[in-house]
Amino acid sequence: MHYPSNMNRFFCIANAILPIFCVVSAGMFPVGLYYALIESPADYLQGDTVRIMYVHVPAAWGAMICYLIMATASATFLIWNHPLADLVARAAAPIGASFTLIALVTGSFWGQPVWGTGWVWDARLTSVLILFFLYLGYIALVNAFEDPDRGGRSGAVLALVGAINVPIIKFSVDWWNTLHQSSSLLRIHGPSIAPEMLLPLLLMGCAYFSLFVVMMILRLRGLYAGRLLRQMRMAATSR
Amino acid sequence: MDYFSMGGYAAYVWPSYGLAVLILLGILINSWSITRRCEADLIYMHQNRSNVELASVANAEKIR
Amino acid sequence: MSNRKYRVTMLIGCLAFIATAVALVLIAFEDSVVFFFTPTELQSKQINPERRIRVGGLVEDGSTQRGPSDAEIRFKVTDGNTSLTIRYIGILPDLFREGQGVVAQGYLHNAVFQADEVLAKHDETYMPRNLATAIK
Repeated sequence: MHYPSNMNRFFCIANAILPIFCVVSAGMFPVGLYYALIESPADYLQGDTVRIMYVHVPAAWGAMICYLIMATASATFLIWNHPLADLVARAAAPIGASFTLIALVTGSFWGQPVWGTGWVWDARLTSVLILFFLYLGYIALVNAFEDPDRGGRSGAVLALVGAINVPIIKFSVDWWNTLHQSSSLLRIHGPSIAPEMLLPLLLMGCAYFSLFVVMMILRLRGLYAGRLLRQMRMAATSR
Repeated sequence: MDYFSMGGYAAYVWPSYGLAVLILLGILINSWSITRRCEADLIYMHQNRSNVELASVANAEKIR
Repeated sequence: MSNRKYRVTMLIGCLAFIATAVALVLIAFEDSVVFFFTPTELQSKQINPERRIRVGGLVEDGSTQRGPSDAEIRFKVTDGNTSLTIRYIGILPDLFREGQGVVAQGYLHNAVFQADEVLAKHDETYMPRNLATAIK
Protein backbone atom coordinates (compact mmCIF):
# COMPACT_ATOMS: atom_id res chain seq x y z
CA MET A 1 0.00 0.00 0.00
CA HIS A 2 1.23 3.44 -0.90
CA TYR A 3 0.75 6.42 1.39
CA PRO A 4 0.38 9.81 -0.24
CA SER A 5 2.49 12.64 1.14
CA ASN A 6 -0.53 14.54 2.48
CA MET A 7 -0.64 11.86 5.21
CA ASN A 8 2.39 13.52 6.78
CA ARG A 9 0.80 16.94 6.49
CA PHE A 10 -2.30 15.62 8.24
CA PHE A 11 -0.30 14.28 11.17
CA CYS A 12 1.66 17.56 11.42
CA ILE A 13 -1.62 19.44 11.91
CA ALA A 14 -3.04 16.73 14.19
CA ASN A 15 0.04 16.76 16.42
CA ALA A 16 -0.09 20.55 16.59
CA ILE A 17 -3.69 20.65 17.82
CA LEU A 18 -3.32 17.61 20.16
CA PRO A 19 -1.85 19.56 23.12
CA ILE A 20 -4.49 22.27 22.73
CA PHE A 21 -7.30 19.74 23.03
CA CYS A 22 -5.53 17.97 25.90
CA VAL A 23 -5.52 21.23 27.86
CA VAL A 24 -9.12 22.09 26.90
CA SER A 25 -10.28 18.62 27.90
CA ALA A 26 -8.41 18.68 31.21
CA GLY A 27 -9.96 22.09 31.93
CA MET A 28 -13.50 21.43 30.72
CA PHE A 29 -14.16 18.26 32.73
CA PRO A 30 -13.63 19.82 36.20
CA VAL A 31 -15.65 22.91 35.21
CA GLY A 32 -18.43 20.81 33.66
CA LEU A 33 -18.57 18.44 36.64
CA TYR A 34 -18.64 21.38 39.05
CA TYR A 35 -21.66 22.88 37.29
CA ALA A 36 -23.29 19.46 36.85
CA LEU A 37 -22.92 18.24 40.44
CA ILE A 38 -22.78 21.40 42.57
CA GLU A 39 -23.79 24.62 40.86
CA SER A 40 -26.92 23.48 38.96
CA PRO A 41 -30.30 23.14 40.70
CA ALA A 42 -32.38 19.98 41.15
CA ASP A 43 -35.34 19.45 38.81
CA TYR A 44 -38.88 20.35 39.96
CA LEU A 45 -40.09 16.79 39.27
CA GLN A 46 -37.05 14.54 39.07
CA GLY A 47 -35.03 16.08 41.88
CA ASP A 48 -31.31 15.30 41.80
CA THR A 49 -31.67 12.42 39.32
CA VAL A 50 -31.64 15.10 36.60
CA ARG A 51 -27.87 15.35 37.18
CA ILE A 52 -27.50 11.99 35.40
CA MET A 53 -28.52 13.88 32.25
CA TYR A 54 -25.18 15.74 32.23
CA VAL A 55 -23.20 12.53 31.64
CA HIS A 56 -25.95 10.68 29.73
CA VAL A 57 -26.92 13.14 27.00
CA PRO A 58 -23.39 14.18 25.82
CA ALA A 59 -22.49 10.47 25.63
CA ALA A 60 -25.55 9.85 23.46
CA TRP A 61 -24.63 12.78 21.21
CA GLY A 62 -21.09 11.44 20.95
CA ALA A 63 -22.37 7.96 20.13
CA MET A 64 -24.35 9.26 17.15
CA ILE A 65 -21.74 11.78 15.94
CA CYS A 66 -19.06 9.06 16.08
CA TYR A 67 -21.23 6.84 13.92
CA LEU A 68 -21.84 9.65 11.41
CA ILE A 69 -18.06 10.22 11.22
CA MET A 70 -17.50 6.48 10.81
CA ALA A 71 -20.12 6.20 8.04
CA THR A 72 -18.84 9.29 6.18
CA ALA A 73 -15.25 8.02 6.38
CA SER A 74 -16.40 4.58 5.18
CA ALA A 75 -18.14 6.09 2.15
CA THR A 76 -15.01 8.15 1.41
CA PHE A 77 -12.87 5.04 1.65
CA LEU A 78 -15.12 2.99 -0.64
CA ILE A 79 -15.40 5.72 -3.28
CA TRP A 80 -12.01 7.46 -3.25
CA ASN A 81 -9.89 4.69 -1.74
CA HIS A 82 -8.13 7.09 0.58
CA PRO A 83 -6.34 5.08 3.33
CA LEU A 84 -6.76 7.92 5.85
CA ALA A 85 -10.56 7.52 5.61
CA ASP A 86 -10.23 3.85 6.59
CA LEU A 87 -8.09 4.84 9.59
CA VAL A 88 -10.64 7.48 10.65
CA ALA A 89 -13.46 4.94 10.59
CA ARG A 90 -11.38 2.39 12.53
CA ALA A 91 -10.35 5.02 15.10
CA ALA A 92 -13.90 6.30 15.66
CA ALA A 93 -15.48 2.86 16.27
CA PRO A 94 -14.12 2.00 19.77
CA ILE A 95 -14.70 5.58 20.95
CA GLY A 96 -18.29 5.47 19.67
CA ALA A 97 -18.84 2.08 21.29
CA SER A 98 -17.66 3.49 24.63
CA PHE A 99 -19.96 6.52 24.33
CA THR A 100 -22.88 4.22 23.50
CA LEU A 101 -22.09 2.05 26.51
CA ILE A 102 -22.05 5.12 28.77
CA ALA A 103 -25.40 6.27 27.35
CA LEU A 104 -26.94 2.82 27.93
CA VAL A 105 -25.57 2.34 31.46
CA THR A 106 -26.32 5.85 32.76
CA GLY A 107 -29.72 5.74 31.06
CA SER A 108 -30.53 2.59 32.98
CA PHE A 109 -29.52 4.27 36.25
CA TRP A 110 -31.68 7.26 35.33
CA GLY A 111 -34.68 5.16 34.32
CA GLN A 112 -34.88 3.18 37.56
CA PRO A 113 -35.92 6.07 39.82
CA VAL A 114 -37.68 8.18 37.17
CA TRP A 115 -39.63 5.68 35.03
CA GLY A 116 -39.72 2.85 37.52
CA THR A 117 -37.67 0.55 35.28
CA GLY A 118 -34.06 0.33 34.13
CA TRP A 119 -34.80 -1.10 30.71
CA VAL A 120 -37.74 -1.33 28.29
CA TRP A 121 -37.84 -2.43 24.66
CA ASP A 122 -39.10 0.87 23.28
CA ALA A 123 -37.91 2.19 19.91
CA ARG A 124 -35.28 4.58 21.31
CA LEU A 125 -33.62 2.18 23.73
CA THR A 126 -33.69 -0.72 21.29
CA SER A 127 -32.21 1.30 18.42
CA VAL A 128 -29.37 2.53 20.68
CA LEU A 129 -28.66 -1.07 21.71
CA ILE A 130 -28.50 -1.95 17.98
CA LEU A 131 -26.03 0.95 17.54
CA PHE A 132 -23.82 -0.62 20.24
CA PHE A 133 -23.88 -3.99 18.45
CA LEU A 134 -23.13 -2.29 15.11
CA TYR A 135 -19.99 -0.79 16.66
CA LEU A 136 -18.94 -4.15 18.09
CA GLY A 137 -19.69 -5.88 14.78
CA TYR A 138 -17.64 -3.31 12.87
CA ILE A 139 -14.65 -3.70 15.20
CA ALA A 140 -14.80 -7.50 14.95
CA LEU A 141 -15.19 -7.43 11.16
CA VAL A 142 -12.31 -5.06 10.29
CA ASN A 143 -9.94 -7.08 12.46
CA ALA A 144 -11.07 -10.45 11.10
CA PHE A 145 -9.09 -10.12 7.84
CA GLU A 146 -5.38 -10.70 7.36
CA ASP A 147 -5.34 -8.01 4.67
CA PRO A 148 -6.26 -4.62 6.26
CA ASP A 149 -7.58 -3.33 2.95
CA ARG A 150 -10.15 -6.12 2.65
CA GLY A 151 -11.03 -5.77 6.34
CA GLY A 152 -11.53 -2.02 5.94
CA ARG A 153 -13.70 -2.53 2.88
CA SER A 154 -15.98 -5.10 4.56
CA GLY A 155 -16.26 -2.91 7.64
CA ALA A 156 -17.07 0.13 5.52
CA VAL A 157 -20.00 -1.70 3.90
CA LEU A 158 -21.32 -2.71 7.33
CA ALA A 159 -20.90 0.84 8.65
CA LEU A 160 -22.81 2.30 5.68
CA VAL A 161 -25.69 -0.18 5.94
CA GLY A 162 -25.87 0.47 9.70
CA ALA A 163 -26.04 4.23 9.09
CA ILE A 164 -29.77 3.77 8.45
CA ASN A 165 -30.04 3.24 12.21
CA VAL A 166 -28.86 6.79 13.03
CA PRO A 167 -31.96 8.68 11.80
CA ILE A 168 -34.08 5.94 13.37
CA ILE A 169 -32.44 6.66 16.76
CA LYS A 170 -32.83 10.41 16.36
CA PHE A 171 -36.46 10.41 15.25
CA SER A 172 -37.70 7.27 17.08
CA VAL A 173 -39.13 9.47 19.84
CA ASP A 174 -41.12 11.49 17.27
CA TRP A 175 -42.21 8.70 14.91
CA TRP A 176 -43.45 6.23 17.53
CA ASN A 177 -44.83 6.26 21.06
CA THR A 178 -41.84 5.63 23.29
CA LEU A 179 -41.19 5.70 27.02
CA HIS A 180 -38.16 7.87 26.34
CA GLN A 181 -38.99 11.57 26.17
CA SER A 182 -38.33 13.61 23.03
CA SER A 183 -35.43 15.98 22.48
CA SER A 184 -35.24 18.97 24.82
CA LEU A 185 -32.80 20.96 22.73
CA LEU A 186 -33.79 20.62 19.08
CA ARG A 187 -37.39 21.77 19.27
CA ILE A 188 -39.44 24.11 17.11
CA HIS A 189 -40.20 26.41 20.04
CA GLY A 190 -36.66 26.45 21.42
CA PRO A 191 -35.12 24.34 24.18
CA SER A 192 -37.44 23.23 26.98
CA ILE A 193 -34.63 23.16 29.49
CA ALA A 194 -33.91 25.92 31.98
CA PRO A 195 -30.72 27.92 31.19
CA GLU A 196 -29.03 27.01 34.50
CA MET A 197 -29.44 23.33 33.54
CA LEU A 198 -28.56 23.85 29.89
CA LEU A 199 -25.18 25.35 30.87
CA PRO A 200 -23.74 22.23 32.57
CA LEU A 201 -25.12 20.12 29.72
CA LEU A 202 -23.28 22.20 27.10
CA LEU A 203 -20.11 22.36 29.25
CA MET A 204 -20.09 18.58 29.56
CA GLY A 205 -20.77 18.35 25.82
CA CYS A 206 -17.63 20.45 25.16
CA ALA A 207 -15.65 18.30 27.61
CA TYR A 208 -16.74 15.08 25.89
CA PHE A 209 -15.98 16.59 22.48
CA SER A 210 -12.46 17.73 23.36
CA LEU A 211 -11.73 14.32 24.86
CA PHE A 212 -13.07 12.75 21.67
CA VAL A 213 -10.63 14.81 19.56
CA VAL A 214 -7.70 13.81 21.82
CA MET A 215 -8.57 10.10 21.63
CA MET A 216 -9.22 10.32 17.89
CA ILE A 217 -5.76 11.80 17.17
CA LEU A 218 -4.07 9.28 19.48
CA ARG A 219 -5.83 6.33 17.84
CA LEU A 220 -5.10 7.63 14.32
CA ARG A 221 -1.42 7.90 15.16
CA GLY A 222 -1.43 4.39 16.59
CA LEU A 223 -3.25 2.93 13.59
CA TYR A 224 -0.94 4.73 11.16
CA ALA A 225 2.15 3.50 12.98
CA GLY A 226 0.66 0.00 12.87
CA ARG A 227 0.21 0.28 9.10
CA LEU A 228 3.79 1.46 8.59
CA LEU A 229 5.02 -1.39 10.80
CA ARG A 230 3.10 -3.91 8.74
CA GLN A 231 4.49 -2.44 5.54
CA MET A 232 8.06 -2.67 6.87
CA ARG A 233 7.62 -6.24 8.07
CA MET A 234 6.23 -7.29 4.71
CA ALA A 235 9.09 -5.57 2.91
CA ALA A 236 11.58 -7.29 5.23
CA THR A 237 10.16 -10.78 4.64
CA SER A 238 9.84 -10.35 0.88
CA ARG A 239 13.44 -9.20 0.56
CA MET B 1 -23.09 15.32 54.26
CA ASP B 2 -26.59 16.05 53.05
CA TYR B 3 -25.14 16.88 49.65
CA PHE B 4 -23.88 13.35 49.02
CA SER B 5 -27.32 11.83 49.57
CA MET B 6 -28.49 13.57 46.35
CA GLY B 7 -31.98 14.00 47.72
CA GLY B 8 -32.27 10.26 48.29
CA TYR B 9 -31.09 9.34 44.79
CA ALA B 10 -27.42 8.76 45.68
CA ALA B 11 -27.69 5.10 44.60
CA TYR B 12 -28.45 6.23 41.04
CA VAL B 13 -26.51 9.49 40.59
CA TRP B 14 -23.10 8.42 41.92
CA PRO B 15 -22.86 5.07 40.09
CA SER B 16 -23.79 6.87 36.84
CA TYR B 17 -20.96 9.35 37.24
CA GLY B 18 -18.58 6.65 38.46
CA LEU B 19 -19.22 4.35 35.51
CA ALA B 20 -19.12 7.20 32.97
CA VAL B 21 -15.71 8.32 34.29
CA LEU B 22 -14.48 4.71 34.42
CA ILE B 23 -15.45 3.98 30.80
CA LEU B 24 -14.00 7.29 29.55
CA LEU B 25 -10.74 6.68 31.41
CA GLY B 26 -10.64 3.13 30.05
CA ILE B 27 -10.96 4.15 26.41
CA LEU B 28 -8.51 7.06 26.90
CA ILE B 29 -5.86 4.78 28.42
CA ASN B 30 -6.52 2.22 25.68
CA SER B 31 -6.08 4.88 22.95
CA TRP B 32 -2.88 6.13 24.51
CA SER B 33 -1.28 2.72 25.14
CA ILE B 34 -1.98 1.43 21.60
CA THR B 35 -0.33 4.53 20.14
CA ARG B 36 2.66 4.36 22.46
CA ARG B 37 3.25 0.66 21.75
CA CYS B 38 2.93 0.98 17.95
CA GLU B 39 5.10 4.07 17.75
CA ALA B 40 7.75 2.50 20.00
CA ASP B 41 7.79 -0.60 17.77
CA LEU B 42 8.06 1.60 14.69
CA ILE B 43 11.01 3.53 16.08
CA TYR B 44 12.67 0.24 17.10
CA MET B 45 12.13 -1.15 13.58
CA HIS B 46 13.56 1.98 12.03
CA GLN B 47 16.71 1.81 14.17
CA ASN B 48 16.97 -1.91 13.58
CA ARG B 49 16.60 -1.55 9.84
CA SER B 50 19.23 1.14 9.61
CA ASN B 51 21.57 -1.07 11.66
CA VAL B 52 20.99 -3.96 9.25
CA GLU B 53 21.56 -1.68 6.30
CA LEU B 54 24.69 -0.17 7.86
CA ALA B 55 25.99 -3.66 8.59
CA SER B 56 25.43 -4.74 5.01
CA VAL B 57 27.16 -1.60 3.75
CA ALA B 58 30.08 -2.23 6.11
CA ASN B 59 30.29 -5.87 5.00
CA ALA B 60 30.29 -4.82 1.36
CA GLU B 61 33.16 -2.46 2.05
CA LYS B 62 35.10 -5.17 3.89
CA ILE B 63 34.68 -7.55 0.99
CA ARG B 64 35.86 -4.95 -1.42
CA MET C 1 -13.30 7.88 -13.47
CA SER C 2 -16.22 5.87 -14.83
CA ASN C 3 -15.24 3.16 -12.37
CA ARG C 4 -15.67 5.62 -9.53
CA LYS C 5 -19.01 6.80 -10.87
CA TYR C 6 -20.13 3.17 -11.02
CA ARG C 7 -19.08 2.63 -7.41
CA VAL C 8 -20.96 5.76 -6.24
CA THR C 9 -24.09 4.74 -8.13
CA MET C 10 -23.95 1.19 -6.78
CA LEU C 11 -23.41 2.45 -3.24
CA ILE C 12 -26.30 4.93 -3.33
CA GLY C 13 -28.54 2.40 -5.08
CA CYS C 14 -27.87 -0.36 -2.54
CA LEU C 15 -28.30 1.98 0.44
CA ALA C 16 -31.56 3.39 -0.97
CA PHE C 17 -32.82 -0.17 -1.49
CA ILE C 18 -31.94 -1.24 2.07
CA ALA C 19 -33.36 1.98 3.55
CA THR C 20 -36.65 1.40 1.72
CA ALA C 21 -36.77 -2.19 2.92
CA VAL C 22 -36.16 -1.12 6.54
CA ALA C 23 -38.80 1.63 6.26
CA LEU C 24 -41.37 -0.83 4.88
CA VAL C 25 -40.67 -3.34 7.66
CA LEU C 26 -40.98 -0.63 10.33
CA ILE C 27 -44.27 0.62 8.85
CA ALA C 28 -45.65 -2.94 8.54
CA PHE C 29 -44.83 -3.78 12.15
CA GLU C 30 -45.81 -0.40 13.57
CA ASP C 31 -48.01 -2.01 16.24
CA SER C 32 -44.95 -3.83 17.58
CA VAL C 33 -42.60 -0.86 17.29
CA VAL C 34 -44.80 1.49 19.33
CA PHE C 35 -44.24 1.09 23.06
CA PHE C 36 -47.85 1.94 23.96
CA PHE C 37 -51.19 2.88 22.44
CA THR C 38 -53.05 6.08 23.24
CA PRO C 39 -56.68 5.75 24.44
CA THR C 40 -57.89 7.07 21.06
CA GLU C 41 -55.85 4.46 19.18
CA LEU C 42 -57.28 1.75 21.44
CA GLN C 43 -60.83 2.84 20.66
CA SER C 44 -60.37 2.28 16.94
CA LYS C 45 -58.72 -1.13 17.46
CA GLN C 46 -60.34 -4.40 18.37
CA ILE C 47 -58.06 -5.57 21.15
CA ASN C 48 -58.31 -9.13 22.38
CA PRO C 49 -58.88 -8.97 26.17
CA GLU C 50 -56.36 -11.81 26.50
CA ARG C 51 -53.61 -9.73 24.91
CA ARG C 52 -51.24 -7.88 27.22
CA ILE C 53 -50.89 -4.32 25.96
CA ARG C 54 -49.64 -0.95 27.12
CA VAL C 55 -51.59 2.28 27.18
CA GLY C 56 -50.06 5.70 27.69
CA GLY C 57 -51.07 9.30 28.15
CA LEU C 58 -51.39 12.01 30.78
CA VAL C 59 -52.99 11.31 34.15
CA GLU C 60 -56.19 13.36 34.13
CA ASP C 61 -56.31 16.08 36.79
CA GLY C 62 -58.42 15.10 39.79
CA SER C 63 -59.10 11.58 38.51
CA THR C 64 -56.95 9.68 41.01
CA GLN C 65 -58.90 7.83 43.68
CA ARG C 66 -58.14 5.06 46.13
CA GLY C 67 -60.13 1.87 45.74
CA PRO C 68 -61.93 -0.14 48.45
CA SER C 69 -58.63 -1.68 49.54
CA ASP C 70 -55.85 0.81 50.20
CA ALA C 71 -53.49 -0.69 47.62
CA GLU C 72 -55.97 -0.34 44.77
CA ILE C 73 -55.85 2.87 42.82
CA ARG C 74 -57.96 4.17 39.95
CA PHE C 75 -57.08 7.01 37.62
CA LYS C 76 -57.90 8.20 34.14
CA VAL C 77 -55.38 8.45 31.34
CA THR C 78 -56.08 10.92 28.56
CA ASP C 79 -54.54 11.91 25.24
CA GLY C 80 -56.61 15.07 24.95
CA ASN C 81 -59.50 13.46 23.05
CA THR C 82 -60.32 10.21 24.81
CA SER C 83 -59.73 9.07 28.35
CA LEU C 84 -59.54 5.58 29.77
CA THR C 85 -60.00 4.41 33.36
CA ILE C 86 -57.10 2.39 34.75
CA ARG C 87 -57.23 0.11 37.76
CA TYR C 88 -53.96 -0.77 39.39
CA ILE C 89 -52.92 -2.61 42.54
CA GLY C 90 -49.34 -1.96 43.55
CA ILE C 91 -46.73 0.70 44.17
CA LEU C 92 -46.68 3.71 41.86
CA PRO C 93 -43.34 5.15 40.64
CA ASP C 94 -41.99 8.28 42.38
CA LEU C 95 -42.81 10.50 39.45
CA PHE C 96 -46.48 9.53 39.21
CA ARG C 97 -48.34 12.87 39.23
CA GLU C 98 -51.65 14.14 37.92
CA GLY C 99 -51.02 16.03 34.69
CA GLN C 100 -47.85 13.99 34.00
CA GLY C 101 -47.26 11.15 31.56
CA VAL C 102 -47.73 7.51 32.47
CA VAL C 103 -47.56 4.15 30.68
CA ALA C 104 -49.61 1.24 32.07
CA GLN C 105 -49.28 -2.40 31.07
CA GLY C 106 -52.10 -4.90 31.40
CA TYR C 107 -55.40 -6.04 29.88
CA LEU C 108 -58.39 -4.14 28.56
CA HIS C 109 -61.70 -5.49 29.98
CA ASN C 110 -64.98 -3.72 29.12
CA ALA C 111 -63.48 -0.25 28.69
CA VAL C 112 -61.55 -0.51 31.99
CA PHE C 113 -57.83 -1.15 31.85
CA GLN C 114 -56.57 -3.56 34.49
CA ALA C 115 -52.90 -2.68 34.89
CA ASP C 116 -50.24 -4.86 36.47
CA GLU C 117 -47.39 -2.41 35.89
CA VAL C 118 -47.33 1.39 35.82
CA LEU C 119 -44.31 3.36 34.56
CA ALA C 120 -43.89 7.14 34.75
CA LYS C 121 -43.16 8.90 31.45
CA HIS C 122 -41.66 12.32 31.99
CA ASP C 123 -41.67 14.98 29.30
CA GLU C 124 -38.71 16.90 27.89
CA THR C 125 -39.13 19.90 30.24
CA TYR C 126 -36.45 20.48 32.85
CA MET C 127 -36.54 23.37 35.29
CA PRO C 128 -35.57 24.17 38.87
CA ARG C 129 -38.15 23.97 41.66
CA ASN C 130 -38.41 27.71 42.34
CA LEU C 131 -39.14 28.40 38.68
CA ALA C 132 -41.81 25.66 38.61
CA THR C 133 -43.58 27.16 41.66
CA ALA C 134 -43.32 30.65 40.16
CA ILE C 135 -45.09 29.49 36.98
CA LYS C 136 -47.90 27.91 39.00
